[in-house]
Amino acid sequence: MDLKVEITNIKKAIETDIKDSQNLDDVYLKYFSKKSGLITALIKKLPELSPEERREMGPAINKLQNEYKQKIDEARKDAVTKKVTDANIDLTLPLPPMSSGFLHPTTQVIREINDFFRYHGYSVYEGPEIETAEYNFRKLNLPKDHPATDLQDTLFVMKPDVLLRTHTSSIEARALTELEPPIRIVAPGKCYRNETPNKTNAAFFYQYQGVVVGRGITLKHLKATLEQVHKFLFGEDTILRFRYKYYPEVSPGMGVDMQCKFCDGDGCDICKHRGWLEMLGSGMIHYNTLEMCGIDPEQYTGFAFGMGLDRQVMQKFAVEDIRKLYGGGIVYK
Amino acid sequence: MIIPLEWLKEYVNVRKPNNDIADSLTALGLMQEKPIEKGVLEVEHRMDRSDWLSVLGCARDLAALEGLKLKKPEGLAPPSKGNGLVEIKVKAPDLVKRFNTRVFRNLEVKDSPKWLKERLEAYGLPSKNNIVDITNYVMVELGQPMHAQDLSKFSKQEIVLRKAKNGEKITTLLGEEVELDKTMLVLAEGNNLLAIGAIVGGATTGVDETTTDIILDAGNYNQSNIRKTSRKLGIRNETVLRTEKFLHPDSTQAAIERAAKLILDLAGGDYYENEDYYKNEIPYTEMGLRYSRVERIGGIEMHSDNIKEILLALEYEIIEENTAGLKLRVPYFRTDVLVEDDIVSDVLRINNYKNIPVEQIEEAPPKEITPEIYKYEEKIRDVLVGLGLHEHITNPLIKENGESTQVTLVNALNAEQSALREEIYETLKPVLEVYKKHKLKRAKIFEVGLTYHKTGNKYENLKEVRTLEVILDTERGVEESNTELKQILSAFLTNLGIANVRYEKSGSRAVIYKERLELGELRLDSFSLYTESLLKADKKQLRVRDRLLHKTSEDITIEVASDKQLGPVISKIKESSDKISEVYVVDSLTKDNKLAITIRIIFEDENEISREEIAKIKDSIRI
Repeated sequence: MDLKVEITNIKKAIETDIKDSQNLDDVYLKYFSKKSGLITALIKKLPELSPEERREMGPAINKLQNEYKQKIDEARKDAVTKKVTDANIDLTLPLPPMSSGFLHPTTQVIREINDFFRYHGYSVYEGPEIETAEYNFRKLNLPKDHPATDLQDTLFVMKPDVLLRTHTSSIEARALTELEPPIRIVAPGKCYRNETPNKTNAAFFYQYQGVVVGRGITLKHLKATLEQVHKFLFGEDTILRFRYKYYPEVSPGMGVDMQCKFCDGDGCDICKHRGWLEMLGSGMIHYNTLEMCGIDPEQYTGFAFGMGLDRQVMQKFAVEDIRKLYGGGIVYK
Repeated sequence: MIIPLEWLKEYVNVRKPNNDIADSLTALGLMQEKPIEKGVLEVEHRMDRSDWLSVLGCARDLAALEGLKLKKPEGLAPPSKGNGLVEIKVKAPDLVKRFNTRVFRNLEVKDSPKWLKERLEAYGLPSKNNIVDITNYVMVELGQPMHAQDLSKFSKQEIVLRKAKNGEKITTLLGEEVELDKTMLVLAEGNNLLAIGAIVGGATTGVDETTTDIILDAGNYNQSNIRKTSRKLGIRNETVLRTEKFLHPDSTQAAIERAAKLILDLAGGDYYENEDYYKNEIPYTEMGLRYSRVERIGGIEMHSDNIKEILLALEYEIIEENTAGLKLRVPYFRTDVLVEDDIVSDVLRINNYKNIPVEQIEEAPPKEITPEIYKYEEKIRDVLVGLGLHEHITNPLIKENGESTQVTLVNALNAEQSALREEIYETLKPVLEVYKKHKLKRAKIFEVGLTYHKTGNKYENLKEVRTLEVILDTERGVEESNTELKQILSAFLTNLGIANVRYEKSGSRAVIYKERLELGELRLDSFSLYTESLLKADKKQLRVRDRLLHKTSEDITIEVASDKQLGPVISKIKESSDKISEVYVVDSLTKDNKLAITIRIIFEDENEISREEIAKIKDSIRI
């Protein structure tokens, strides 16, 4: 076929294709694909032509190629512009959202607290949920028959030595045993107790533990750390109260309360008219605990803190019943 | 602990508003529980400090904190040493450490004076008569329970402390009949049971208006045994609250002499020494305190005079001292002080924690050691949330199923929560019902958690497996939701860089493999993946292309038996050349027990593969 006629035909076809096509990439490939493109085919024919014809057709085909590559390009741009300016689309009309996933509230709170601590050089540490009495009690300075073991109504898998951990302090005992100082870890985790479930207490709950051991660690550092993390979580205007509180695994122990933000400390239903909300228990790691875990308490000192996460999660997400939080009683809308 | 503040002020002359007193007590370890009502303060009691179950004990610490003097109540030693009025026979020496007794004769039992009644009522104990009230009063004042009995109601003038016989019964002074066992301590005389030791008195020898002669006892017992007995019998009272804690035997002496003083003041009569059983004397604790240790722990430098002042106010005795520290005798009532740091605690808490400055840790942080799997599970959550799935956390406690592989609890509170799940599916699936109730359709949920497994009866045989579970609501039809489930699974795996997994049918499930590594299993409505395996599996890094690819595809049709599982066929094609980027079924037709399927093979780049190669691949498939 005469090349000129061919060029004319191609021109017509490509014009129509550009106008009608839904997919300009296909159009591009149809004409410019290296193997089977129609215009590519014309270019491939050029060497077969006489020099005269080549002089005439060469620039023509070249022009054709450049012109339509450019046109396809423009059409592509137009198509995009057209899409966003199409007068038939009502941009103001809201539609139901695409399905979007949510993290569990507890995961969100753990991440928030982890963020703070990981930024400050803490690593996350883990331990088993099925624990031994060794790590859950003994190494934490709770010998057999200590009245404090009553506090933790323990769920046993095998009596008396295998149990479901009653607190994340068991992870502390593991970290102290398995790591060399300096130690700086946090440990969020599931815990279990033999409790009759109600709105605020359940057999299954979450705690968050923090442990620091090094040379020259003192109560000053514990206070600073806890003040910082509470300001990070609850705002710069947070007021904390530090008081003595006994926990067997620390000496001295320290209880930490946050002034109630709902009543500015005047007392309301939220803080049970105390003006303060109990936030966590903490203290300097007990001499015996360090020793039992293989750390020389004359060389190193350390602090630990542990807090319940569920109340915090429930307050933040307005969940009223812990059983719903972990019983599938929540959905995300 | 309940503290009537007027009572407290008898021992410490604190001139502060009641709310400020409450703040001081809170700071030193006795946290205010609720607003003060009618001059009565309720504070949280932790189990270590048995002396804080007494008004005097609370006053002592308050006086130390406020820098005030403690005014101690008066006691009275007996006038004569004459023993043997009532014989004491201890037949359970493992349970009784001390049994300290006095005898009073010719006293007058009557109503208590107003002040005594008011104080007991403020505390929450009803007034009975002067003798009973005095025993209660001294218990609250000094923390040592006591027991008075009418000697005229004894058949023999003796008290035997022994273990009960199995099935032995006693009627308590509350009129309740209780059955005992052989681990429990009882007080008896002849065939008559007088009391459940250290827990509650019996009905027969109680003090009433006709009583003139009494025996008063204050005992010190094996606290662990008392606690167990009280739990077994379900008896909780003011006595048990104290006898189940670590009390020092010397508390009995202080208490009984204090009670004697009050009895003589309020009921008159004659006062006699009686037996004080105290076989193995418990020595006082002596302990050193290095001043440097206060700074090591508290981070503050305190003057040695300041430290000594605090310790003396708490009734420590200084035995020796030098520039480095003190040798101390711990007050007998401080059974909680066991190590040097406990003394440091006393110093720091009486100095008040609010006086400890706030200072950042200077030491550089140690190496980051967060486990890879922890970070990886965080990523897994993010990918699934990105795919539109909701995360749930469910309680792993479930009902026991009788299988030996299940981890079960020996002391479950209820049958519904007596074992641990072996599959997350068990506890996660019911969540879909909640979505249904909320009328939320097409729920897609996941949980990252543990499953628990048992292979034997040792701790080593218990295993926790980190698992991801994904479940889809199938209400719109299993087929449609299964398609979506598979799409989620492959999008998820692609996102993690895990390509070319294999499925092997096993019953109603398909086991998912990456090479030889088992990743988990796919079911009609759900899949489980072991996150540790996902972490271990070979990853293909997402290829980033900087030039245009010319994908090309070939369709081939093959015939297979109609019940053939196509997964392995597809996997085999995919594995036949690394130039193949995707393989999937585009069409299928069943005819005469045969299934004709059209498979589309997509080659990543036509420039990278020749016609001959394609033909070769096609041939290899047709077999």
